Amino acid sequence: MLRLPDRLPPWARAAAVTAAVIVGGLIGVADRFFVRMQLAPLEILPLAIIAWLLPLTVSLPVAVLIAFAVATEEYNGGYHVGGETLLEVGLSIGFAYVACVVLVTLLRNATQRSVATSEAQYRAIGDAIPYGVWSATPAGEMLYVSPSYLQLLGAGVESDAAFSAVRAQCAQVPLHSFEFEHEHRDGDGKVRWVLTRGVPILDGDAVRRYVGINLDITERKRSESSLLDSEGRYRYLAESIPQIVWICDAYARIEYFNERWYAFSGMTRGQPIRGAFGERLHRADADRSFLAWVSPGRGSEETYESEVRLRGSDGGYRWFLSRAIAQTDSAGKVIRWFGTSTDIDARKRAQDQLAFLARAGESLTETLDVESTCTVLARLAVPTLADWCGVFLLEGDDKIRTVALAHAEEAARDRAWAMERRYGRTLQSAGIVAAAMRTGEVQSAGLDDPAERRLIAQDETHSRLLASLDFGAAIAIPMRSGLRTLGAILLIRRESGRNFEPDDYEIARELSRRATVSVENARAYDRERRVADALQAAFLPSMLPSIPGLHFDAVYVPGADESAIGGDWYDAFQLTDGRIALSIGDVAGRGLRAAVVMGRVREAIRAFALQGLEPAAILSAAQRVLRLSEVATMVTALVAIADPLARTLTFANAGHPPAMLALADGTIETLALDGIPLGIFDDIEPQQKTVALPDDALLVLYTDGLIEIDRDVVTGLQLLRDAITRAINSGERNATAIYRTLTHDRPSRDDVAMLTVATQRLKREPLGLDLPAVPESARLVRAALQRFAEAHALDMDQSFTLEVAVGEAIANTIEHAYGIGAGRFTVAAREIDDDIEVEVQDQGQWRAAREEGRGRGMPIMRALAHTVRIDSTVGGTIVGMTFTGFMKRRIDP
Amino acid sequence: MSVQARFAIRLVDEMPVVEAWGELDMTNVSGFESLFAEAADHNRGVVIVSLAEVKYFDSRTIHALGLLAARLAKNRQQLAVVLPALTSARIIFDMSGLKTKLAVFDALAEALTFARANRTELR
Repeated sequence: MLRLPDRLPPWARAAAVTAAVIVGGLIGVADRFFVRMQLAPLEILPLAIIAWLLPLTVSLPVAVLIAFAVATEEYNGGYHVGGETLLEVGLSIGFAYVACVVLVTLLRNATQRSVATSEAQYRAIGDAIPYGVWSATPAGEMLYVSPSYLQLLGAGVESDAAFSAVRAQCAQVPLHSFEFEHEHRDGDGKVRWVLTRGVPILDGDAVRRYVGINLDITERKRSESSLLDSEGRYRYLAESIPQIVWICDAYARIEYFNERWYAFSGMTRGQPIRGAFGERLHRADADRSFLAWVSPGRGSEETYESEVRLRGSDGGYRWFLSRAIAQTDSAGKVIRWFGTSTDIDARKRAQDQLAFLARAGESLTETLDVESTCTVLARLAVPTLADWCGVFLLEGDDKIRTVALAHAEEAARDRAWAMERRYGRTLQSAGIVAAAMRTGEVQSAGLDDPAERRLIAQDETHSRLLASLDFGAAIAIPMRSGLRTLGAILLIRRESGRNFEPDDYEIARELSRRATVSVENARAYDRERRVADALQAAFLPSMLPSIPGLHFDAVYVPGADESAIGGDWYDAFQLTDGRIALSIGDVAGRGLRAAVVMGRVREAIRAFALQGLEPAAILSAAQRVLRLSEVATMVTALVAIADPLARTLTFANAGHPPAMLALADGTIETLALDGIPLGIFDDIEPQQKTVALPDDALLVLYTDGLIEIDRDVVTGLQLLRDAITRAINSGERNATAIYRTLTHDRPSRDDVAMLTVATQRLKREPLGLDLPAVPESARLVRAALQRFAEAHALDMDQSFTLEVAVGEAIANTIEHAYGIGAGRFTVAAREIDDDIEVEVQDQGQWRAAREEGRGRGMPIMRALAHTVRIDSTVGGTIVGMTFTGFMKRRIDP
Repeated sequence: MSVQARFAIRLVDEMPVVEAWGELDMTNVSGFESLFAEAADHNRGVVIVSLAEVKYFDSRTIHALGLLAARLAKNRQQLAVVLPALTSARIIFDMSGLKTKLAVFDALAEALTFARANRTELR
């Protein structure tokens, strides 16, 4: 197979010519010594060239011919060569030629050996490397193939067929390297893919041969095939899934959208898509868009996810959930983002509607006032549902009242209000509001239509006003409870706004349903509140006791929160013995029920106090009454009985804030006493305590609303103390001043009830009592006389004398003037100069003793008083007594 | 409403003693009287009523004591009243005239001495 070249390479030829010239020169020198040849070395050069360039078969005859020609010419004398003989010339030429031939032959053989050596090395390398190595002639004839090449082809493969691809390529691209992939079947029939690369070895402009390699790329081709298949599947997947699929570079420039995008956006393939997202993004969502989020610095571990709105082909926006993950290079740098955008518009709108309705539900239940409820409703609807909202209620059988109007722009709302005030509605009016109320069905209209406006307008001015208000699509939703129509909600979108969609209708209906319930509740509550207010007003005392030495004051302020009408009460009334019963309390809960319970407990306390029970017993008895109630209710209460003469306060507490007692020296005592609220347990055992009510003291009873104005009881208590101190210092020792100082006339959320009792210092002044003619009044009179005596600096004997003498007089009055339990009597005592005069007066008749052993009263009176007179008339009896000299020797207190 | 007064009956050397504290008037004298019957039922010859701790009483109390004394007399018993001397109450009592029909003592011990001396032994 090996074919050696028949021509030497250029360098070998040059070397050979040079060597021939040198050798020729040497021959010429030798010739001068041996045959005296006259040829210069250069003259031998043509022969050497001929010998070199031409094959031996040609050069030899040429050399002979030249030699013969030269010899002939020399012989003829025409050509003379330095005087040498022809034989000499011929011999010279012959020597030169022979020398050239020998030299060329030697060189040729040497070159051939060198080439053979190179070929051997080349073949050894080719045999050693694992690739298929080959060399071929320019015609594609294979000069060498490595064993790996043969192994690649497989056993039994016909060489010519296997090499045909190489051969054909060599023939097609003679001057350039080439590379191509081709397949063929090996001996087992398996398809193998081969990558062939060939490089031409040029000799000038001619290709001497090709050398190249063949690589088995079957696996790579399979992988590529698999990859292509995979890409195809993914592309198919991307096109088949319902989401928008997109790919962008690290700078968020879109490179690919699947078909979903084009269907949504209305774009066509071929249009620039690099900035398509940004162009269709809702402005409000710009901050959370992928464009705002992404940056070249984002790491591959980060994943984008956000909900944004994109504008579709119809101009409307839809919600999408966009997610993106990064593809990174080997260094971890993000090179592109793969993303999906899922249409969540329906879900999002459903969520928004639910959230809106939930918010609406909360807002509508925050108030129990009809007007407030309608205002809340109107504000809720704008701008979520509409640009305008009006709420109308049916009053009576025909009149429609505009209760609330809402619009984002205040000026527009004011204009609408002005129009509503001028052009009222009735149930028979034109327009969708009245129609919705009449029919109970949702009504719609396009108020941007002049014909529609003319239908509604009551006159030309009305029509112009309607036109100026930028009304567009409108719907009116009736507010119905059962078969009863309460009113209607009017929703209007601006002229340039969208129409109402089915979803809008549904949410508007639901809003109407909830609003209807709230309005009904508010109306029901309004009725209840009026009743509760009336009840509470009825239960609070219309007037407070008027007792010498004591000053009563009270404050009752309903809570600012209209839903907080509570069961707070205060009470103060005089018992038959002249003492004052005080009660204050708070019924848990609100409304009519609380007011009823409050009335029940308050009356029970009144009844038991009048029966003569002490505070602890009163609370226990009230507890039993409360437990009879069908509804479990907790009540806190404080009951106290103030003795205006003994200046004591006996009290018991059932879980109520403790009373405060401010003394003249500025100290404020908290009258704390344990006690559990009423209504919780079957039996309670309240503690009871008695404290002194000294002169210039101020007793403060209150409900928790007073100390919870700022929702901080600790602070509230301190503020109350401060307010009490300030009231004392200012001389305004009453509930009104304390409340004003404490609240600065701010309304409290809860009801506030407060009752104060201010004691006054003893004064040397006349005594005047007006009491019921009951046995218990006797003690009151004695106590009053004791205080009178103390104020007038009488000694104990004088005081006792007064008590006994006057006591006998009033005992007669009580026992005999009316019969026990009827009528009243008065006691008046005063100092006149050195004397004390006392008068006991009733409207009955003085009676002498009617049974044996009685009748000691009058003798005792006469024995104790210096003078006793009894003036009995038809109108009543006056018993006058003078205690002479009682004021003599007295020192003013 | 009950005036703040308290009554009790006890036996001292087997002699019934009715005691009162506070103020006695028409509102509570009946309760005081109710103890008289119990004291009389002991039938010890003398019933002691101590008003030493009473701050006030009126003619109704004096009347009740008179009735008690009359009842005891029918059973041959006596009423001994304890009222400290020189007090306003004693003065009032003295003015009532009952002191002529009742035995009045300054202290309970004196009354007991009197009672023991006039004790009726139970059969």
